[in-house]
Amino acid sequence: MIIEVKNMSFAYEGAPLLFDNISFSVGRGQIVCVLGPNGTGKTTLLNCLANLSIPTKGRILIDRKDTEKMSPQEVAMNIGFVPQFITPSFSYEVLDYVVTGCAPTIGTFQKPKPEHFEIAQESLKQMGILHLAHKYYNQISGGERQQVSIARALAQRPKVILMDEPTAHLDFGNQIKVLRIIKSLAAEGYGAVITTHNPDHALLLGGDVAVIHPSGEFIFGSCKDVIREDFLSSLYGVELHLCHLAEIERDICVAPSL
Amino acid sequence: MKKLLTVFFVAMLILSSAGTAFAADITYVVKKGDTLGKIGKAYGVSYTSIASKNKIKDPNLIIVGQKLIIPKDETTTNTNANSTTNENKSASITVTDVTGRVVSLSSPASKILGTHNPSLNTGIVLGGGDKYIAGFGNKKMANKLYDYVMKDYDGIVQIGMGSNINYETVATLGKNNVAILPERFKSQVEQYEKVGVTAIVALSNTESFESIKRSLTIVGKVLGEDTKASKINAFIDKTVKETKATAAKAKTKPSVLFLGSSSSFSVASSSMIQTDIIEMAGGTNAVKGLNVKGDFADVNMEQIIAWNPEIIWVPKYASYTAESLLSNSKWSSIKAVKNKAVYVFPSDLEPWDYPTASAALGLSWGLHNLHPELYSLNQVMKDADEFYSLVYGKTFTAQELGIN
Amino acid sequence: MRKTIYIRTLFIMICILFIFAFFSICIGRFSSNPVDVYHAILGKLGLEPTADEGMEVVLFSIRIPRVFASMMIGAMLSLSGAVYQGVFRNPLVSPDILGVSAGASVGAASAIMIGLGIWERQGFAFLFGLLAVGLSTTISKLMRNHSNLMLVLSGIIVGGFLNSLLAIMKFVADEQTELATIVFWQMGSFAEIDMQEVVAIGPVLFLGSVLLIGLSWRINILSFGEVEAKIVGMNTKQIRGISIACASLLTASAVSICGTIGWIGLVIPHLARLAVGSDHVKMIPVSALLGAMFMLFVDTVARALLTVEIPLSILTGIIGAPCFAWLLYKQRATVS
Repeated sequence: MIIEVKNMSFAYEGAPLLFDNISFSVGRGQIVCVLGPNGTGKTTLLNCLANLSIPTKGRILIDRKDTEKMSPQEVAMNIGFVPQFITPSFSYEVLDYVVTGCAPTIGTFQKPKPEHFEIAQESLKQMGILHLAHKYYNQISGGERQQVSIARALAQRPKVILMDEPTAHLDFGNQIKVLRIIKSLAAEGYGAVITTHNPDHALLLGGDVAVIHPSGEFIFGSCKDVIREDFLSSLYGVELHLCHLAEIERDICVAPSL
Repeated sequence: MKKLLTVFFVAMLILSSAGTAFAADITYVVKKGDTLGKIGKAYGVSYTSIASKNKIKDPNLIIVGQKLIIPKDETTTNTNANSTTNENKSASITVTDVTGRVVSLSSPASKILGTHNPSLNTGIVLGGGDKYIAGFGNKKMANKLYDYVMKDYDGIVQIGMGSNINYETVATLGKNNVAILPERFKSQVEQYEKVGVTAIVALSNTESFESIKRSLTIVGKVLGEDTKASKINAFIDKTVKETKATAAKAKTKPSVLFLGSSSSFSVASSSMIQTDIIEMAGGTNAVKGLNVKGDFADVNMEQIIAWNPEIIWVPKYASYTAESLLSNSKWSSIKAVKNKAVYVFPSDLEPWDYPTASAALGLSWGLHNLHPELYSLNQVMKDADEFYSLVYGKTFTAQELGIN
Repeated sequence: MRKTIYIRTLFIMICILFIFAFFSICIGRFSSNPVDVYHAILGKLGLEPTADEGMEVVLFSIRIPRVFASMMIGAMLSLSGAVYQGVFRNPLVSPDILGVSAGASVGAASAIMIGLGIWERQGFAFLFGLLAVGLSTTISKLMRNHSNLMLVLSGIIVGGFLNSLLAIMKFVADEQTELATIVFWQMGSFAEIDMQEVVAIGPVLFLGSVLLIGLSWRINILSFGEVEAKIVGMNTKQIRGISIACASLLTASAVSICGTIGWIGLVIPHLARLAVGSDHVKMIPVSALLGAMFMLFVDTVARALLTVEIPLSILTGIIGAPCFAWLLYKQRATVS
């Protein structure tokens, strides 16, 4: 167990509780997909895990250590985060962008050393985009940018990678590519927690599913257990169809004819 | 419907703003037998304002068919006691100011007011004090002299500073006053007339002893103090003549730099009285090649070093001291500083380098400063005594004046 | 940009700066003959008798202090401009954004109206400039909103208020002495600089640039955004605070010495980016060098072109605004 979430609750100032008393854990090679309609707190959950927001109640443990007692750098060395939107105001070279992932190990007044650049290049290689190293960020496509963001998170050498809707702004082909990358990262031993709007993607990834129901209920379990037709239909408020396609040997979740 | 309404409103807006522009003036074509006075009465405006609007020098002279712009009458109740609404063109006092405007007064003004202190100084010397002063400009700049010669300096109303004038205050002071303005404030004339106060531009932008004398003559006429004005002008003439004659005897003409008041890098331009004083007193102006509009200009320190004046005059009211120049390393190579020839221009009581009657004393002192062998301090004091007795009926000691 | 190319570029710029400086001390209204300069230097060193005392004074009391001062001030303003742009994630930001210049103007005007000397005037300008920044940051703290937008808005409030204060002071000031002094101070000038002041700002420039160049890589990260910076474990509040404080100190010192000078903090960082890219590690030192060069050029023109002293803001504006237009034209594709 790398990350353990114990009885976590969160409410924005002056607002009712977003989620209450959540507990789950993420281990090596484990993929967790967080499903749920808009506004239920998926991104907030990720933010709490990434130490960007402080939970109102409860604790998060990383390797048995309470995050409250850890410095932000320590947390960053364990958890990588790929946000949904990245809009840099200035255009940097991809390599310079990725090397910022090494920041937790670089002193406040120091600059990255050659070894850090090596780490950055390795991350790019891992993502298969080493050829983009010296291109400028504003010259690459959306899909490539997503991959660069993941590379940056990898440069942190984290144990778990959090991704906020990684497929949201990608074309269909790139969506599948990113899902493949997540699958292979998990195979390499990284833990992954991703939020997604598409239950079919959760099925593609396999792994565990967490759902924050609008009613406030938190459900956690394996794909097979949580993803059921009636449950999903009530969650999203539309009819959804679950079936098994023999020719590709997987379960799929689709909408019926309009 | 909405669109129509918007178009309508916009059109109204444009028309009304155009209207205010046009509504201001009416054009009238002169017919046989017309006089400016008749026309004025018909439109309810004073004939003097028609004359000035159309730049007519002689109000008796208008031609049939001549197009006149009738100014919009802002003061139909123009009961300016000084300007007459009857057609009697033979008003008792006619004055042409420095912009060529002809102003008529039925009787001498009781007092003058304004915010340009050198211009008002004419009234002070003509009245020997605050007799003719109704309202004043920046009281801070007036110096100690006024404490001596004005009975109730604090009681005089301050009507504003520079171009910021409170015309309501002016209006409360009554209509028997005349505003005396320098040429650079001539745009204020209309404003003064609006509140029923005649305004006269007495002091020209190009300063010289001639322009000073002219301002005294004009204001003398306005106040009915023609005699005193000519006496003061005679004094100025005499001083100028004698100074020039004495200066002609000098063997050398030292170069003089007259600094400004705001900083030690500002110098006076050639349109200022300072330049005349230097040249008449037997010196040459160290400033060369300065093409500036307006009074003072900030020049580069290197330029001042290049000019290398032999004598430096610092105004009494400067924001820096003569000592600061003597001790500043940047000035150390200049002849005037090396010879400690940096002097404060008098006087302690009032500036003798303003375009006022006292500038004649400045001239006298300048002559003494540049050529002490030809003109002694005693002679300067004699001039000062003569002037101040004539004007105020008092004399001051050299100590009080700060010249020694 | 490759590191080797960068080092070479830096080296070339430093050489150009030295050459500019040398030319600059040979030019002036007193004499523009390098031979005179040569003799004056020898004279001062005692190697030959002083030929022209005037030249010696001009060289050592006027030109050399001004050359140093303009280079330093140019560097300070550009440095702080570059840092502000990075921290606020906005290339349209100038060092005045938090009200430093407005505060310094009010301080200087107060000193002028009270009738204090030049040193006090500078002290007031410096203090009030920092106070203005402090006020802006306090306002945003009071609003419990630490975002960049809030800071900028607070800066607008404080700057606007201080400018009105300044207008009141100008209204009350005596037209002939005080007002002229205030206006001329605001327009910016090195006319009254002397070696003492140069020595005084030396440490400020040194400390400020060391700190900011040290933080330049962190500013890269800050410029991505609050979230991106936090997720790599950066203490954004601390880094932002130090950067803004340093940059404000540099700006306040600069403005207190020579009045408000616009455009440099805005335009020079853009030029630096054009030359070496947006990486702050490379671009911040280049901003400083380019700023020094530019200010040196401008001040040389200000004091040597005409008999009168041309205010610096006028020159930086006349050169800076078209420059900025040209920069925008070049980068028009990237402006959204």
